Amino acid sequence: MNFGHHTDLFFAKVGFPIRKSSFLPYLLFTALFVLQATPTIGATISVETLSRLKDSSGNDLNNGFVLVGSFLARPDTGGATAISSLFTEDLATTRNNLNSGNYFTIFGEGSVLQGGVQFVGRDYTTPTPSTSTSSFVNYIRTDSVATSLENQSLFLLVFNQSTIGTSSEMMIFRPYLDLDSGLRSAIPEGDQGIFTFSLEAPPTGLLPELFFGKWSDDGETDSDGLRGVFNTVGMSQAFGITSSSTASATNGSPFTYEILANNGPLAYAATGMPNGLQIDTVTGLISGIPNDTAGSYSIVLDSVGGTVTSSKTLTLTLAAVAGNPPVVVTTTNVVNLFAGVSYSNAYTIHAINALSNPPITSYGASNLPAGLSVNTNTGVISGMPTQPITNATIPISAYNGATGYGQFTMTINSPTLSYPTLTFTAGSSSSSPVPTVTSGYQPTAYALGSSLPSGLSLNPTTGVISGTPTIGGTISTSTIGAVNASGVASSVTQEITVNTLRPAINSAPVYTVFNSANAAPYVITTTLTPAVVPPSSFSVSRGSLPTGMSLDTSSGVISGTPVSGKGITVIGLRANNANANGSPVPGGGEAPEFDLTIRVDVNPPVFNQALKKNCAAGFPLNAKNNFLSSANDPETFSLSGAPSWLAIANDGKISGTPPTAGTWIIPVTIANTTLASLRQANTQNLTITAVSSAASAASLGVRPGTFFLNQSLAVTYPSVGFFVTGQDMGADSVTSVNILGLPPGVIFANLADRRRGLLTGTPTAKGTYPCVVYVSNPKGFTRSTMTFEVK
Amino acid sequence: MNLKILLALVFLTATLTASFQSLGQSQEDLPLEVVNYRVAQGTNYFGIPLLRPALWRGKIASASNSTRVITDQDPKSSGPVLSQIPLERAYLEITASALDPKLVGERFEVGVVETRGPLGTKGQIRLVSSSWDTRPDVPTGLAGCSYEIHPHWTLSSFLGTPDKAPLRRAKSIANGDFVKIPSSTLSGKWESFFIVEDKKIVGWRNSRMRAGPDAGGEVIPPGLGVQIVVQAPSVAEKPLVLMGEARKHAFRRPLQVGRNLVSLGHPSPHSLSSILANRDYGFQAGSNSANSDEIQFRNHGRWEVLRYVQGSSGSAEPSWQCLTARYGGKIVNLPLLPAHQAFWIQKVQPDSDFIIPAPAP
Repeated sequence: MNFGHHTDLFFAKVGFPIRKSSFLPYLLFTALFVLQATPTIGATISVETLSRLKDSSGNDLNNGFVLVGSFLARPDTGGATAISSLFTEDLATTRNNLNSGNYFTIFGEGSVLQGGVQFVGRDYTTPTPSTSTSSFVNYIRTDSVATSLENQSLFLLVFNQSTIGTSSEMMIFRPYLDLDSGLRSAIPEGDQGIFTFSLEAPPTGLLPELFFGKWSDDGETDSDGLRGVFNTVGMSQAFGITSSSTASATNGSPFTYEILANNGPLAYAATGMPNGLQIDTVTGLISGIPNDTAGSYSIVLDSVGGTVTSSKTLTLTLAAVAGNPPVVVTTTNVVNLFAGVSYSNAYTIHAINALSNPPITSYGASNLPAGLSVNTNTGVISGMPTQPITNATIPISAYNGATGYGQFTMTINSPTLSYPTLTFTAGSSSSSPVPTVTSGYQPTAYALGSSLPSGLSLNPTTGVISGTPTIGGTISTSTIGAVNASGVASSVTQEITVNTLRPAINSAPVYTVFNSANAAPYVITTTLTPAVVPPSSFSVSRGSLPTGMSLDTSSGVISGTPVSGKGITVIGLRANNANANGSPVPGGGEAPEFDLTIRVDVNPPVFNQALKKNCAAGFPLNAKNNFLSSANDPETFSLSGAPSWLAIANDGKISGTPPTAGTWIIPVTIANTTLASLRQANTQNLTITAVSSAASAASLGVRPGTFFLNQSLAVTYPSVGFFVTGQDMGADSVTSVNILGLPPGVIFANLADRRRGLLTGTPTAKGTYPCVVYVSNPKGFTRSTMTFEVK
Repeated sequence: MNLKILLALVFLTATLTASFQSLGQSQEDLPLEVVNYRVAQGTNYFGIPLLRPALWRGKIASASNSTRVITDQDPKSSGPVLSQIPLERAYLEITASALDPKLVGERFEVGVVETRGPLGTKGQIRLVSSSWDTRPDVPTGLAGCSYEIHPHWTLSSFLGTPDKAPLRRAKSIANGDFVKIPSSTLSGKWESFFIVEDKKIVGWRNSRMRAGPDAGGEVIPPGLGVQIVVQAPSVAEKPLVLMGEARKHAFRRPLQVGRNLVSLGHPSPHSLSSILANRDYGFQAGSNSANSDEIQFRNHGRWEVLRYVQGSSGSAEPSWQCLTARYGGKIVNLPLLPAHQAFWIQKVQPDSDFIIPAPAP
């Protein structure tokens, strides 16, 4: 049967309880009218919670609606079977327990909320439910439509209407996502918990019945390892006020009446009450001291649901006051006190008593907070309240044979406990002041609700926080509680700052750099203590580093090569911990200046290259190659037994013109002095070879070669190539060979190979190659020709 | 070329020995790197980051694990050199390997006596097992690798001949300065040496054999730091200059359980990062000295202790923490380990594969 455009409904009688079985992990029932908690039905359940339904005004929908619960079909075994088992194992039993005349319908999310998928249920026009499980199940779709309902919510509506005439009567609940547009639309994923229902006028004779339910853990584990019970509670009565329709009161005497109503109304109202009475619209409690004409009052009571207001008339009979009671005067309507403070006169009951009246013999007060009492002779309310309370109504009375009534409002505040701003310094002992408390509140003990910074402790008697904090640069909060002799407690959450100490540099006061070779960097260190937040920057606060050296201000590493020669430099260093990870550090900042003495000293000088020079007789030493390579900052160079034509400067440059050919071996001494004026020297022999004439190809034995196409000369002439001189003359040879016109691919790879006479490479073209051979030495060069061949 | 180099070495050795012996060094292939030391009163912890100049550089044609013989790819060139290899302790170090980079840095002791002569003439090198080797076998995968043969540093080559070494000579070690070298065979043991001077006798001696042979040839193996103990009070610092070749490739330094006195293999300062002191390279983090790897180094006169500490939660990265002082910046990136100083690495577990990459040029 089709209802409207989208919904097929079925009815069956419902009952309870429903025992959880294997389907239950996938079942969610949200009792929207009473219960808002999500049921706990097993660790593996996947549920979506409809936590709230709203009426068209946006209010919580608590009435005028039937139950809407959601069931999740089994997600893993197929929709039809799962949904079948849902009803087979639960609602079939429920149905058997239905009261006569109770009906329900179940529809799926798609049928109502999304409008695309219909859920086929029992034909409501045949309201007699079958007790047969199979019969019931027969109404479940077993096709792909049902399968598509997997993991969708199912909704259960319960009615107490036995007959419904037309399908349109069932379309009483029409959900809209967007009330403004009035469009029916799908509920977006994730919004199921807040979708909105719009309640149209229910058809005549259709009175929804409320249906409550919730999950609970029964402690029994089923075969599927899950446990829990879903209990439903059917409501036999409809929504409405159930409290008595009659009541009586007496002028001047306190009166209370509580409106009772089914199914959790949102608010209450009452009209037509005598003076002196008022209603708490939230709780439905009518109270006060009536002061009006004696007689009968018809008071209209309203129980307001989300969309329905139920009304009932209360007949209140108001009697006149007997005798001539005193008139209680409430000069102070609101009294504010503090718990834990002893009051000798928190309030005094005043009453005006006519002279003609009998004298007042006693006073009374009720609903007094714990710790307070009334002196019935004087009307003085005194004592020490022990519990905070807000706006408590305190009825009071005076008695002269008749009782006069009044009331006032009392608020008991918690006593206060406070400290000023607390700042300590790591590593330093100090104390906080005694905490300030509410006047009259006398704590007898203090205790910590949460720990204090390390090193601090709380005096349990005075509340003073003292000690020597060990960790600096922290801001933390601690909870301190106090209690008085009566057990009245107070507490404060206190921010405590512990300042850091400034970082103290403790690295070596003297940094010695010996020469420049592989100098060890200087790394600034500071004292290791938790009282100090590590420095995040360093600076040279006085003087300057030797030229060539620099400070990494973030790491504190001084490195580099001093280029200014030996000397002593004293600089000031500072470490700064004002910030850590970009945030200010309490108490942080620059440390006192640290003096660092940097000694740039020298180790003995050394030659780091063979001292060998080639030259030509009668010609000056080659200006391009006349420095003696050395290390460790030599300051002087000197020669021993050198020929008169040879000189050396203090930068290691040798000069002179050998008059004749020959070889000279001359000791060269280099020296420097340390900062302590200690002379350091080193001597090595310098070999100078002077030639008198240019060499020739013939004198060197230069020979032509035969190569092979695409074959490396290192293969043809292993292991390195072809020596045109017949032998390796050495890279430091006096002479050098160059050949123009070599076969393509054949080369002297570098100057050293020219001195060695070494040809390398791979010929790339066959042929005969006439070449010009140049042989040179410091004296000059000669030119000759010869032919190379590539086969 | 190689023959010429050898000849040049011989020549230089002959001509430069006198001058360089005063500095405790040998110089053959120039120019050389320089590392400066100052020997001060007390205990000095020195590392030797340089190599003595190579005796030979070549490429391996084949390697035999059974015979422990390496054959050079160029016997014509290598033969004349190897057959005349000097009779001093030397080792072969792999400098490059195109096929298996993990072999770079492996060291093998060279049997110079066995190599010198006919074997060397064929371009072959006999390796002999040594506790200084970085691995016990001679893998055939060495074929194709580039290698160098370097003489070991010795007491004399490092500190100088007895008459030039910056140590006070004495009749016994009790009265003189001395050198301590960690035993490579006995964990936690040391060998001590001093310069004896008794009547006309002057020479290096092992403290256990005062009347024994000269110990100037005692090897200071690669990667081992040495202690130099200057006992005399109030003595002036004495300079010591070392020259040698800089290693251009990774340096292997197997680590034993317990304390290892380590000398770096490259002549530039290192950081914890640059020596790969982290979990991925075999360092163990813990909470105390018994279950954490530690490093102790001298920071300009003060010993600092670094501990590899496990993070507070299981997923937290372990970190190096200094137990003795506070450093600015990231401690793993600080140049805390100068090349000329030895430092301690205390290991919970051995690490036979500890390797330090060559610094970026």
